[in-house]
Amino acid sequence: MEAFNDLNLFQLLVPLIIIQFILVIVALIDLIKRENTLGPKWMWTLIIIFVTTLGPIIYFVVGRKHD
Amino acid sequence: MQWMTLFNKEMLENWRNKKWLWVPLVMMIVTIMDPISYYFLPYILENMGDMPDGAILEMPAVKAEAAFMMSIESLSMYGALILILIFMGTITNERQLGITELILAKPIDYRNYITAKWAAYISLAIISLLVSLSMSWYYTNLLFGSLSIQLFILTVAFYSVWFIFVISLTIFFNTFCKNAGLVVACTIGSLFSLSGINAVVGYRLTWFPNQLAAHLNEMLLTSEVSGALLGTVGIIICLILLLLTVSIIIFQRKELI
Amino acid sequence: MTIATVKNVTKSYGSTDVLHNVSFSLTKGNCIALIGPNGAGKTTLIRILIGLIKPTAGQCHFSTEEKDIRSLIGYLPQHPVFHSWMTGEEFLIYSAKLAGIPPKEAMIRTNDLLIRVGIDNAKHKPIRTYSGGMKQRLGIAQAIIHRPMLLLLDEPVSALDPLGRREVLDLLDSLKTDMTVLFSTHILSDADEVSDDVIVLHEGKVIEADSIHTLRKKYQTTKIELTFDGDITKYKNALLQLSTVTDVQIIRQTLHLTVTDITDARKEILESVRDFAWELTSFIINRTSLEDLFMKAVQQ
Repeated sequence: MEAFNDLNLFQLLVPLIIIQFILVIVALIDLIKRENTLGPKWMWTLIIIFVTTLGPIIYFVVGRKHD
Repeated sequence: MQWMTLFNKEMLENWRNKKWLWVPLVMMIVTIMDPISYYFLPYILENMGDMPDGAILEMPAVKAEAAFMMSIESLSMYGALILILIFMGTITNERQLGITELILAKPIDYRNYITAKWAAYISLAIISLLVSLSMSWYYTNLLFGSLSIQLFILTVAFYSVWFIFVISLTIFFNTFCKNAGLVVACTIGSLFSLSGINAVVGYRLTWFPNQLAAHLNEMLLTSEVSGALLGTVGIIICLILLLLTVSIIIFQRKELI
Repeated sequence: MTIATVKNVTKSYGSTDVLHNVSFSLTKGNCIALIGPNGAGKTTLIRILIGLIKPTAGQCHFSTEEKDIRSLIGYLPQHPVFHSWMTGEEFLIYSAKLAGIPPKEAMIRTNDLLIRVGIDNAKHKPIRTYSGGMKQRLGIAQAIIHRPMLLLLDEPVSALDPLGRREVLDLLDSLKTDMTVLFSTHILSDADEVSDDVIVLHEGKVIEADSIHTLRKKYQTTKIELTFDGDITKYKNALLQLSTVTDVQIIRQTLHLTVTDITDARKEILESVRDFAWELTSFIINRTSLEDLFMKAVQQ
């Protein structure tokens, strides 16, 4: 795997990390603005922040009450 | 005119509830996760520390085409699941909440109502597909060697048809299922049945819908669009049209409240 | 002019008839109250009129060339639900465009209606922040934005507080000039206030369908109340001599007369008053309220 010498691990992973970060931020902004969520807000905050990728997805799919 | 009104409403709704942000983001993560993990696998294993000294880890060399196929396979699984989840309640929820009673009292052509929703979600699905596969293409070129832009575009184009099929299936179940949960169950059930049939007799049915991935793989390897690939795509398009027509007929016949 | 005819409409769910052999017609420019207790089939009837559900038997016929009758009807369900992420203004424009009104015109009508129904100051707020009364007014606005010839309202005021009810009833009253209004209610005084015609629905059957005026006449009680200056027992005996009076009772210094016919009795009594110079202080014909009328109609 000589590519390791050429490519910086950090550079490769940065886009992925940025995408996940944006996803978390979008979910959190939505959570703050929303009046009704299914279950307590603090629970969703923890899920969104600590469950990588899947946390925000679960929030978007089932966490939000339909208007 | 009426169609555009309905279509714009769906687009605006998907923008306001942030689907236009999170769906492409999640699809990107889904597509690039596998190629990246595969690339880093030897590195990860080495650092686990339980390798005997001097052991050399030989990973089979992966070509760009195979790496790109990993993305497609992830999309078939998780990408399709996300599409079903975001589309599951598009009609059932409106009906359950009672919005349908107000909206369908307007002189709405049911064909417009169904196809505008369908088209709005297809836009979202295809844009997400394009963005995520571009990302995957970028990584493929960076890590595994080059893949021509022609092949990339062809893959996106042919694979879009599969996503449209999944959305058509979801809207079909939306027209008669009582709630969103049932829509998800029916849609996933149907997709599993299809892949089950494919596993058993797929090798004999060249144009079977689930053979699409195999044909795409072949296209990436040979750089040629086979007749089998076109046939399969043709069959899927026919199924899409059939599902849409039946959806509209069911919707017209059904008492909606 | 008849705009719609409902003919022998029956709607059954399983073995129960929600509506049974319902027939009536709607005339242009009238305000019709569909009255009946809860569960009488009012909502079902209205939904059949707009075409949201289909009758098991019978049919609704509209006197029009229009293919899709929904473009001629405005409808407000009992519990209207909106796309609550939209603003009031957006929802009205959306409704107008769905009815085929060009964008510019939709914009103009929306702004006019927002002012007319009084939610102009909240037009840029999402509908989820609206109160019940505001939603009801938005509901009426979306129902009339395409200027229908027939407006169907399902219990438009029953969920409102007295103030909101007053406002909506006044709004309905002002709409009467532009379109035929049919609204259902189980509160009879609401119907009494604004409607010209009444359809009484009870257990899925039409018991009465006529103008309030005619029905009043039909069910009118033949009672007259009189008060006089001086000794009323003297008058009691004199009144009993009259050919139209069958009974006289004295209750708290008031004479309660039962008569054979209101018009004849009025004539005869007033002639006596004139001829014998009776010191009449009040003359009241006991008018039937819609409440009484309804009770009588149901009992028959």
